[in-house]
Amino acid sequence: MAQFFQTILVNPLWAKWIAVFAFYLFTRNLSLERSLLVLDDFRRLVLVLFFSDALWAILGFSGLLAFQLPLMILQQVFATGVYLSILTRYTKQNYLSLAFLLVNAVVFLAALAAAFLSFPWYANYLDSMVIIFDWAYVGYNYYQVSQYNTPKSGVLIAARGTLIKLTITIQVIIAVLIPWGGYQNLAVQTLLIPITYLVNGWVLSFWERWNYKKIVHQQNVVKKDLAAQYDFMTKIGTAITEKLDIDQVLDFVVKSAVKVASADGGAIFLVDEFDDVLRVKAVEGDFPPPYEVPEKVKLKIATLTNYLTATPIPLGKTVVGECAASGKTLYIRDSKNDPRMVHNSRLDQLFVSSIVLTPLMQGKKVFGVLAVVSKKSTHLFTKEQMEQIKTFGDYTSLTINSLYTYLQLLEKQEMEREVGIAAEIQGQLLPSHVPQIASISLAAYSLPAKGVSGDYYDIINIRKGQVLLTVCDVAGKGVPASLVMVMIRTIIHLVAHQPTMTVSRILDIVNWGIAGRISLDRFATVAMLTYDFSSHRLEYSNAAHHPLLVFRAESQTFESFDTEGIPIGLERKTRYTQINTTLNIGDILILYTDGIIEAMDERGNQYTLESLQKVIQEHSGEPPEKLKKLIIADVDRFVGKAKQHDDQTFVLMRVEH
Amino acid sequence: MDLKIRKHSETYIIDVNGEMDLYNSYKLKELVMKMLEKKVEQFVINMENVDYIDSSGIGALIYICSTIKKMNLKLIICNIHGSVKKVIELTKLMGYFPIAGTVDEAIQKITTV
Repeated sequence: MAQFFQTILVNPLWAKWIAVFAFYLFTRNLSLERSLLVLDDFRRLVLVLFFSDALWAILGFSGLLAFQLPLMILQQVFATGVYLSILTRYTKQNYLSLAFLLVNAVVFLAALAAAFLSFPWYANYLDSMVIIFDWAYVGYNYYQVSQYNTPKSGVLIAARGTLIKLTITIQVIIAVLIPWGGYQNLAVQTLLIPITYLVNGWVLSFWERWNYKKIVHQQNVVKKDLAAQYDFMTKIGTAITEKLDIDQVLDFVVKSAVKVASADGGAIFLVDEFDDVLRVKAVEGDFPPPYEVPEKVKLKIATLTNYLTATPIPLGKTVVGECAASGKTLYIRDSKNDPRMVHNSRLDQLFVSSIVLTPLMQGKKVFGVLAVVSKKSTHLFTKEQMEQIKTFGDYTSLTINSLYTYLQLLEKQEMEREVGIAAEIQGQLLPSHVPQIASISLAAYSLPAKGVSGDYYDIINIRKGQVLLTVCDVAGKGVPASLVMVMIRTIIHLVAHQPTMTVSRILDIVNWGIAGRISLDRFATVAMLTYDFSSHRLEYSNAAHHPLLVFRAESQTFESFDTEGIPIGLERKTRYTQINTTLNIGDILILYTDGIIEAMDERGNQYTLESLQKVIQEHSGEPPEKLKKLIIADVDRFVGKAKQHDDQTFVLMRVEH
Repeated sequence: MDLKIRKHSETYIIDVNGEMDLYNSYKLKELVMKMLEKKVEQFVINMENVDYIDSSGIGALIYICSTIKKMNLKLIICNIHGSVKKVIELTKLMGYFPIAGTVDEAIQKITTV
């Protein structure tokens, strides 16, 4: 019994077991990447080795020394199997070949047979040879791994040298030491075999360091990325506030993108919605067209630049068009093997080694493409750089969208300011008071819808005993419309007083004076009449305005008068006609603009001419000033809270005697 | 207001959607001017989805129409209806504008004339 404990105490296996425990305690803290199943594989391996070593010792104590050899073969098959299964997991190929299993099975059986045949001398050699063979097989397969056929090959490549070489060297040394006991040799037991255990520990710690390095690298990239993004955002912000110029923003974006990706050149293409093509808008550095160009264009840099700017790219064609059509980032890391870059030859000065294209979007619509290229075959864009360009693209889209919105707002503000100025001009155009005339009474009303009116009315005493009424509606608003009004008013005031003048003639002259001098979309509709107090004669001419409405007091009915003629300001040669009629005492006439009869209530119903007629008819006995208020009140009542978008103007006249 | 362009052989059809008023009529004008720069020669303006027009809208149409006339190119305005039609009638411009009932009629008219 004492002997038994003594054997245990001096047993060289302790060295192994200490190594195994050290390894186990050490790797217990290596939980950096629990997701890496490899880590568990190594741990399981060492535990299996530990228990099989225990078995080994028990076999030794029990005097069954010969059975230690088959056990060792099993151990080795298991260990090499773990290494191979790691490979299998990374490369998705099965490395446990039939030959490997066959050799091991044969040797295992031979070793088993040898154990029964009382341990012949060659059994140790057989054992060592097959172990070396196993590791050579593992080594061969590990050396087949490259970055081209295996993702995350980095750690395998870095670790395989030490792993394979050290293990095989140790096994060879053990084989050489066979005449001195081989595995039973004290030095082997206490030094060499524990080292093979530690190799596994080394691989694991190496693994951890590798992962850590990768994370640090990623962090650095992110940090650098953040700094670049921040810089980009502040600068683009400054560019916007300083100039509000989209071209400048685009220029800046290309420059920054080229800088951050260490690219040789970059460009922004914008989509021309009208004919579905992309045109280059900003270029930075050396940016050869990343698509096929005619041979003769390639000869000169100048022609090439011209070609780039002058030749639009259809949506969907070439890499640029493809990016715009798909709305997705296009990343061609290495143009060498890409079917989209077949035109690209290394001998060509237009050679592009790597290219990133990212769409610029407004909502879901692509409005442009940001592209950067590298021309050096030693510099291919990394995934991080691609992501960065993508972020630049996204931010640029955002910036340009808000810039557009802002510009629109600014334009609207500008328009509103202009409307304010126009309102001032207009205030001075309308007659300041309605003239007091004995034989007729008059009233006029004009309410602009949005600050300034496009309407103009006038009441002029043209000659003794004659008055001229006119109502005019100029298209558009703002200063230009007001200037047209000034022109019309000036001409009317200049010519109306001439003794032979008729209303149609006045309209002819106004039109003649204005047509061709104003922008066509500032046309005006004008209704004009003159009334002679003594003869009660009314002359009326209309340039596409609402017809004149006359209420006949005697018959209590309405009469409508209209003449031919297109609006003022369109064609110089237009001639206007006129109608004459006689008014009687109590007759009321009204000239009005759209704003009155088309005034809308909240449900979109219009006030209509009939409603206007009804009010006039019901209150035809009232003086115009009173009638005016009644009409306004009736329109207001009808409209309720609805917002009006057209000016309301009318002029009323009643024959008193 | 929203503008869309489609193409029927050599004819470009502009579909106008929404109201044509003071604040947006210039868009149509700008678009047509841009198309003229690109040497488009046949235009159809489809007013099917325009339910409101003010004098600025009419102004824009007049501007476009006269510019195209001056360049001896072709324009037809189609699908004028409702209050738009009323406004054009009132301003006595039915004769001034080249008008067709539908887009198909407009295309036919433009290609045969």
